[in-house]
Amino acid sequence: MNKSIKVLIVEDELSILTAISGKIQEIGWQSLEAKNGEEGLKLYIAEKPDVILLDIIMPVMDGIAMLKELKKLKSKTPVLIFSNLSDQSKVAEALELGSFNYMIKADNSLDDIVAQIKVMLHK
Amino acid sequence: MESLIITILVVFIVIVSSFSYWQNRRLKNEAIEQAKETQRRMYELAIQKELGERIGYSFDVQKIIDIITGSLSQFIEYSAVSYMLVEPENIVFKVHLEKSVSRKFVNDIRDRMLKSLAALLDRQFKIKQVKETLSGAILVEEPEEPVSSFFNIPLVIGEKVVGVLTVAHILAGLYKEEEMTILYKITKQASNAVTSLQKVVETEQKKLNAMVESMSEGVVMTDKDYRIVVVNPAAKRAVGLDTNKEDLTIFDFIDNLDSKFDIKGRLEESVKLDKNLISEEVLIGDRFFQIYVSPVKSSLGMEENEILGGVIIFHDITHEKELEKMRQDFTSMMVHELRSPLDGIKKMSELIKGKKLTKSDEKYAEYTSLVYNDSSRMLELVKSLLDVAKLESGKIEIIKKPSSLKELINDRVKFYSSSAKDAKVILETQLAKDLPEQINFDPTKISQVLNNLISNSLKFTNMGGKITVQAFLHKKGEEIDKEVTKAQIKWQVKNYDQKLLNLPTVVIVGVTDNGLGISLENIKELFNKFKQFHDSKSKIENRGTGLGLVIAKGIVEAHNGIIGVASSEGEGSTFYFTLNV
Repeated sequence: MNKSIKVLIVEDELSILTAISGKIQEIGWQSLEAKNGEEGLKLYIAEKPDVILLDIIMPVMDGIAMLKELKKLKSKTPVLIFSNLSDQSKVAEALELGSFNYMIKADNSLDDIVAQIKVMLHK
Repeated sequence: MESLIITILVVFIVIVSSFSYWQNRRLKNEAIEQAKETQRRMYELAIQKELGERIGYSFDVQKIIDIITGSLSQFIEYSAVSYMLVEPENIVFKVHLEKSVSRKFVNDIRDRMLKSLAALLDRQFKIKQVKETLSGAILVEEPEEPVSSFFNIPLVIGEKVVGVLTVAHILAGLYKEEEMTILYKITKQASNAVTSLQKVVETEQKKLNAMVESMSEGVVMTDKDYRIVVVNPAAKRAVGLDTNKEDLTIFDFIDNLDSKFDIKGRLEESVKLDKNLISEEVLIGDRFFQIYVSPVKSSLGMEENEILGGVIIFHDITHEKELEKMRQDFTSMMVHELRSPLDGIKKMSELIKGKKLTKSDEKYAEYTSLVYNDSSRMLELVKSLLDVAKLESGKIEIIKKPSSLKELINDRVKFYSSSAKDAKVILETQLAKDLPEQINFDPTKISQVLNNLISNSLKFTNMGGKITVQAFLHKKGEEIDKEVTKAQIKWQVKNYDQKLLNLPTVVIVGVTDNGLGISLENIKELFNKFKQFHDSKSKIENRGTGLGLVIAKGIVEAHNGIIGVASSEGEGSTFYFTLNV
């Protein structure tokens, strides 16, 4: 990787956000932290990240709303939907908005997440 | 002298013997009469018993008359017994022959009966309306004996003539008063039985109609040709038909149900195959229904289990579905609330482990405090869940002891002062001077209630807002408005809940904020375990589970107090509870 990869993490769970962000920095990439969709959108516009990690259930603006906004902006940035949802209908709703990768948070370690991001970037 | 004696003797003998002859004859006649009377009574009893038994199952006039005519021959002699019943289109004419008679005899009876019917009902009948059924002995061509004895009794049910019963004989002079009396008695009895039964049926019908009308479930009943016989307002509402609309046909239902439910097809299936059908849930308008279709079978009279039509029941399951949805939402929320911090802890430890952090690393404090916060949050949640479970199973233990409410409130306000400061919210108290020094309650549990109410208000009050914990004594029969003014308490509750009227003497505690307020709709659900109320406009970043209020309610109610909330959106809320003094 010649240039530092920018990963936007949109996640309201502070510990998860910090952990993933720490991991991203550890491998030498750049992490952008957002606690909700609104913050995420601002960072997306300002920073043009290479990849977005997106939680679904969040206050202020949830993941689905953010996906809709990204769609309006005709974003081509790969998104990894990254949730703990037991409610599959919400995931289905998100996946209907476009083709995204989907990962269940609790089932995947930080290493798994990094591996998945790498796969998405090499597509 | 001798001859005189003989003559006297002969005369005496003649007198005695003729006396005893007449006496004998009289006795014999009496015995015959008695036997006849017994027979008659036996017959009446038998008829009565049979009628009693059969009427239990039969509301069919024909059947009852069949019973009478079937056993009449035991008592009255006749060549033919017959009856005519007036039906809307036809006249049922049944003739049972004891002896073979000619066609002419039967026709003669028929004509005579028709004439009586016409006279009784004051209307004309045509011979072609008569539907004749013959039974018993066969008809003969010869001899053409005429009807010589004939006796007609009107069949009356509920003061209405429904037909006539006739006995006829080829011999003349047969039907005298005695026979007539008996026939009258029997038909009267049958008529009474049917009349009273009809009244019962009518009353039952009325009851049934009233019941069907008022049923919350939609009911549509049709006959075999799918013509609607009964339809209640709930059924009309279910499919979106005007409840005042009369003369509905199955097509109204077909049209309104569109393709959501094949009402005719299902009815046909049910009626033809004698099957009970239950639909999957059907969405009609904005409500969910489960639709039951069953055949309607006769159990009274007629042929056994004859299918008369079908019934469709619209069972509204919207509420059940909502409850189910709430339960599911609650479960998934709980799973989310438990899994998120746990996942956070796991990921943080994964990071820390990989980094081999030591205390001196700058990230160490941040990471460990995140782990600490997440585990505390989880523990709190598990504790709340346990509390709710205890409350629900009635296992919550309230240990009341004389305690100072004033002290408790001040202590709690102090406890939350730093959080309030962080949130830039003013937290203060307004306590009436006449508050009892000591009242009986469980200080630990009431402290928990205050915690829940104060932390709740903190969540919903914006920066620069204000939270006031209030307490005052309310005396039975006094007006709260006057009491608060006297105690110099700014009491925001305006629209009194029924709950706050007619209270005994109690201490009222309120936690009042000038925060976002709660909509009326949400207030109703606030103390419901399964209803987590979200408001995206609020500043809350830590979504609550809503269990705090559920627990508060349980604790207050375990103290025999009441808990409630008054709020107006945009102006703030007051959560209040009472403690008995």
